[in-house]
Formats: sequence, C-alpha cells, structure tokens
Amino acid sequence: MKKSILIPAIAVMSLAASAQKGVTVHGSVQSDILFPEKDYEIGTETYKDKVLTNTYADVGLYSKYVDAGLRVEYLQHPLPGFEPDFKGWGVPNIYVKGKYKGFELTAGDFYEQFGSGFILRTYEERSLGIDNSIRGGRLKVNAMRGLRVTALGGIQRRFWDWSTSSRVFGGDAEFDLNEYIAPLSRRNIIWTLGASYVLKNEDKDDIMVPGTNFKLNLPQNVSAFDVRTHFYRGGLSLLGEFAWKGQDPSFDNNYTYRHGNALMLSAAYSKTGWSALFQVKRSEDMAFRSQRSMKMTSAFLNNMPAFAYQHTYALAALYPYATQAAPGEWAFQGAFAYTFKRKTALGGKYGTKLKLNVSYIRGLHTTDKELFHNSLYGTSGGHTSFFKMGELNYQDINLQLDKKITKDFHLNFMYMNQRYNKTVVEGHGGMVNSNILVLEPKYKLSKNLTLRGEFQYLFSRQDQKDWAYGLLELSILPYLMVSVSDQWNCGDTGIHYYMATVTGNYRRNRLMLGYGRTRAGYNCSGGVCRYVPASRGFQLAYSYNF
Amino acid sequence: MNIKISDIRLLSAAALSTVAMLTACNDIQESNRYRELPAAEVKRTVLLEEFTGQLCVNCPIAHEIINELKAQYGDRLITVGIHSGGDAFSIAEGDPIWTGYQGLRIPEGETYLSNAGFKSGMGLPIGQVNRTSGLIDRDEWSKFIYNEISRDSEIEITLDAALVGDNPQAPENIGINVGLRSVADNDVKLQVWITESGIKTIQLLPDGTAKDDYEHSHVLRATVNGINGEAISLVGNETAVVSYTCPVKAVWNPEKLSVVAFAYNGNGVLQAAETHVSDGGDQESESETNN
Repeated sequence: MKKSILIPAIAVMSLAASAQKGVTVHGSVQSDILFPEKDYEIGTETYKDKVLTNTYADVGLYSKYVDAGLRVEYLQHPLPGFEPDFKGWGVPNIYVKGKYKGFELTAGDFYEQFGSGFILRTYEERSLGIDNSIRGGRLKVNAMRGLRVTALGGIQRRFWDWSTSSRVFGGDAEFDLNEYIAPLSRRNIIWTLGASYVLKNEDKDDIMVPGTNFKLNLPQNVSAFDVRTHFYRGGLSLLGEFAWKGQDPSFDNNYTYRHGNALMLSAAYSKTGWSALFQVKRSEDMAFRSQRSMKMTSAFLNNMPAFAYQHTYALAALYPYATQAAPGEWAFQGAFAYTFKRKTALGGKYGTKLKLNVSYIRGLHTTDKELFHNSLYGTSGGHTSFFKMGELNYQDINLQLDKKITKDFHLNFMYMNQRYNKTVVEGHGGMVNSNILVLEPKYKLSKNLTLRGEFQYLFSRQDQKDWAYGLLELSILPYLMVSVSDQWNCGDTGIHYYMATVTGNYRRNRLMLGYGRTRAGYNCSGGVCRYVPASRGFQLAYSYNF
Repeated sequence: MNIKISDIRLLSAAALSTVAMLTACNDIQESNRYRELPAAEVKRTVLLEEFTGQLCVNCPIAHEIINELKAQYGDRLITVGIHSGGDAFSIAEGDPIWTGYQGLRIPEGETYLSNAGFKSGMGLPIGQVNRTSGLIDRDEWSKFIYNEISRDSEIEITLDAALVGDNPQAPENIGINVGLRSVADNDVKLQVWITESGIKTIQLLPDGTAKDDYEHSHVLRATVNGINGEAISLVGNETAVVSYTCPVKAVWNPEKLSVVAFAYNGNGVLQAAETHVSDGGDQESESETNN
C-alpha cells in the first residue's frame, strides 16, 4: 500500500477527527540518518547514496467507539545491514478499529500475540527491520466475565509485499478460572487457562529433491496449537505452556516432514527485598513462517522467547545469542535478586542490590537421519531424543551489584562469564569463552550536572580476543547530554571504535547528533538478531511524540 | 455459575482431542511425499554459476547438491564455482594473511557476483542458472536446471583446449579453439573461462571446523577473453572459429584444468561447453561439441 493511499487516508482521518467530539490524536515521528564514509580499516561497505535513512511517521485517532491509524515509512535508502527487500517507501500500515461493549473489530493491519508467541507473534521491531503484521480482520470479544476470545484472518506483510499465496487464520481463548471457582478468588488466586490455534494455508511450491526428478508433495495447510496455564498468588507466578506444529517442510528445516513442539515451564517469586525466577524451555522445529521458502528474519508467524539475558553494556552484548527456532534447543534461565537493607553490614548506608542471572542453552541430540537420494528433503529428519542434549550453544553467568555509596555517588559493578558458540549462531568461529568486568560510576556534580562513566574489559583467548570499552557521559539537565566513548580491540586488531554524541530533549522532541565508528556485529532483540556491517560517519536521530 | 475441576478436565480433554484430530489429518505419509516427474528431455547444456567461498560454512552443503546434480545430468550440466563475497566469505588469491593456504578468489569473481544482482544483506551460497533465474538459493537449483535443460537452443559450440610450451613439465600457455554455429543470424557474446578441479586447500565446514585439504572443484581461475567476453556476430549455419591463448599461472595444476565456453545475450546463456585441457604433445586434443 503505497503513495496513492496516503493523501486520501490522511483526508479521511482528518474529517473523522473533526467530525467527532472526544477524539484524541497521538503519533510519532522517528528518523535515523547516517552520512556514510568509507573506512578501509574497519571494512565498511561502499554506498552510492550520500545519505541513508530509516524514517517512520505514524498517527492514530482514538475515540470511544472508533480508532484509526496509519504509518508512513521511508526506507528507500535504508541504513546498512537490512535485507535487500527492506528497501521501499509507502503506507504499509493502516487500520480502523470499532469498539462496542466488549467487542472489538479491527480491519486493516494489526499485531497480535497468542500466549508467549510460540505459534503466533506479530510485532514491529524497527532496529531489526521486522514488521510481520497481518493484513485482514480480527475480532476480540471480552464480553463475558473472565473470558477473552480472539479470531483473526489475513495475509502477512513481508517488507513491501503482502503475498496472497499464503493465508493465516487463528483463534485464541483465555479463561480466568478464579472468576467462577469461588475458593480461588477467596484465596486471591488468579488462574488462567489459555488455548490457541493457527492455520497457515499456502499454495504449493515446486521443490525438487536435488539430483532427482522427484518433486515434493508439500502440505498446503499447516496447523499449530498452543495450550497454557498461568497461576498467580501473591508474589508467586507459575506458567506452563505447550505448543505443537504439524508437518511444515521449509527451507529452515531442509524440507523435512517432522512435527514441531515446544514446552516451557516457568516459576517466579517476589517479595519485598528479594525475587527469584527459574524457567526451562525445550523447543524443536518451531520456525513457523507464512512462506516456506523464506530465509533470514522475514515472514515469521511466531517468535520463540529468548532465554538469554539481554545485556545493555557494550562488551556484554558483543556476543548476543540468537534463539535457534528451527534446529531447536534446551534452554534454562535463572535469576535471583536481593536487596541488602540500609544500615546493615552488607547494605551500607543506602542499601545494596545484588542480581544473579544464569542462562544455559544447549542444542538437541538428533540421530538416525535417513536420506532420500542423499538428501534430507521429504524425510522425517531423524529421531530427536527428548531429554538428551546436543552441544552447548550459549552460557551466561552474570553478577551485578548496584550500590549508592554517598548521596551523590552511585556505583554499578558487573562480572560476567560467557560461553558463546559462534558456529551455531553465526555459522563459523567455534566456542568463544570470555570474562567481562564492568564498572559504572555515576556522580552528581550539581543539581543539574551528572557525570556517568562506563569502564568495561573483556578477557578472551578466542575470536578477536580482548576488548576494552570506556564511556563518559555528562547530563546537563534538563535538556542536554554529551557523551564520548571508545571500544578498543586491544587483543587482536588494535582498532578503535570511537563515538561522540550530543543529545537534546525539548518537550516532546529528541535529537541526537553523533560521529564515529560502529563495529560490524549482531544487533539482537528478543532472541532475533540482525547482522550490522561496520560503518563510520555522521549520525542524526530525531524523534517526536505527540 | 460454579465450575468444577472435573468439568475443566473434561473440557480440556475434548479440546485437545479435537485439535489433535484436526492437526493429524494434515499429515502426509512417507509414501506420499514425492511426485516423480518425467526425466528431463535434454536439449542443451546448462550453466550453473555457483557463488561460493572458503569461509562460507554452508557452501559445502551446496557442493554436495552440485555433486548430485552432476551425477544426474553429467556433461550436460556445467558448474563453475566463483569464489566471491569479499573477505567475509572467501580468501583472495595470494592473500598474505592466509599463509600456507591457497586463496581461490579472483577479482573478476566479485564483479560477476555484483552483476548477478547480489546485494548487501544476502548470503552465500547462492547461484544462477543460465543467467535467467536471477540469484537463487540452493533449494531452487534443481527446479531451474530441470526447466532450462529441456529448452531448445539455436547455438552449437565446439571446444578444444591443449597445453602449449617447450617444456612439457612446465607448460606456458593453454591454446583454445572455440567454434560457434547458429541456425540463424545471431549476435552473441562468447565468454571463455579457465577452471580447475582437485584443488586441496582450506574450507570451513557446516560444523564450523576447518578442513585444510578440502577438495575444491570447478573453481573459476581466470577469464580468457575479458570480464564480459567477446561480441560475435553469427551468420546462420556458418561456423565462426575463435582462438585464444591463455598463460598458465604457477599456482595452477595444469593436469586439472578445464575450459568453459558459453554464448549469451540479454536472454541469458544460449549454450555452454566444457572441455578438459589436454597435455598437447602427441595426443589428439579433446574436443567437445555441445548442442
């Protein structure tokens, strides 16, 4: 949906807004711009364009009975590292929603998630270039106490294409038992049961087994279902979820005909002063796309939750883990947080917070892979043991300490031990073992001036070996922030990745100007990663919310 | 309304059974997963340009697929491994960083990859069939080759190549003769390449390990007549003969060299031929005729 719809869409929305009382308007503008420069030392690509930008503008009208909105995207000269089909511009998102007495009907483009996203999660993540919204219709019914039902159908967005060769339908129901079982509500228990179903109907493809005259008989319909239960009482939360997917031969699984499944169990408890979380997930062949032959990050219908802690410190995020949805994995995650009270021996004058996070992820163990004419195409893909695990994919143990030393001085400390299987995640590189130390002091110089620093060091004998990182950031309230940083590969190449930025905030505007180098690497969010090539140049980022 | 635990159990069992039935109905049994197509009627020789690299971990998977395709179509399928994709995927010829290993990427490889439409964000291995398919992933090669090989061709190519030089142990040049014949007048470009097989050097494997003596086949070693070939105007039913001399590089193994010649225009590759470079001397040179 491109330029031709833009002007009439804006006109209709303006008329609707003016015609209705009680209509609020919200929206935003976001533009990230890079003026790229060639840098042979860090291996930047060569660009024909002098300016690269990802720019978005959206507006929404909200009223008691009707909402409507649209988004304009300008990605004709995109920032580095996005897939080739990402390029384009137009109005890829437009919707109208009617609401009345617990019923909500949406027509147009929408996002939806069933449960934890095992069989359906459509979302927008601009930094990854992901927008897998569904264009069609959705009905949500919340008319009966404790029961929520959703039904939807449509075609999925893949960059600037909405392929009609594949259609998606789904339904979800969640039921709060505590609304109808009196003993539960008396004990302040919330107990929810949920079930979802998704059907993908895709036209057949011509996929031939290499070296033969055999073509695969591909299923046109792929079903997936999900059941879950969630129990809350006081500070205790328990979650169990199971998903199952029918035969879904695709490029992701070498066109094998196995069934996919996922099981997740999670327990969390929190109380004043401490909290704990433990969760385990086993998934197998759960890459579920609307188009079977697609690669990279597009056309996913689902999203397997990430079990690796998402780090914000630069060196801790140097080797981010990408969830292995297609081959499958066993993933364990634990977290413990404790606050030592003020005026105690360990708490000190102001208290001390301690956090321990552990992530441990292994692949599955598959044997007896049968072949058809030396190919996996059309086979069941071998036998995968349920409990037996394959190689280590990722391990992360990190301990964080957060302490206010004086009224004006705050200190964060982190130690992290990480094992990253670069071969599994990136396709090559072996196991990278590293130990990371981070020190983050923050000092309030005056009422309006705060100085923050980050000093990080990564010890490793593999890949690019040791790294050092330093950052100084001066906040000048209420409007300005200035920072300089350098990430130095002291163990191998000796290259410095320097960056200087100035950020201004004024009312609803935010403007960042910067210059420097960005290292090639992976940008990950929620277990999904995008490769970002090295770049250097002047950067500008602007956002406005209204 | 009060609900009992037994009601919940009954409802859950019914729902699960219903969904299991619905999803199981979609299963395709093993005996029903393959549809045999009639064997392709071979009417021409097809060229598969495979863009590959020694640092590309998935490329050995593509090499296995190529072996299967070669076993299926024999000499009617010509595959050329064009090492490319920059330093992220391949090793340049003579790269000093990779001392002890032979780099297989020549500068022309990057140009061919770019001309084929490779864009930032794509990966290797990737290939194109007869320059009509565009860049396609390995799972589509079979389909395109099957369709292309049964298309008629107006062009016939005759090809022979032999080592030339005073010292048979160190031949200096390759002498190449290409004959082109068309059923009708035709303006084409003739591209001639040198390829080499049996090169044992480093390759990253899908499990991330490196094999130091991996055997590389059909590797593009040199372009004989320019990066885009030579323009030739063919007169119907007349054979045009073109001869070339290509120097033998020290790093090549003369016994493992082949010559690939193909005619193409804006509609793609019209015909292709390949011949092993003979050692010249008293032996008759090998000649291939492809039509």
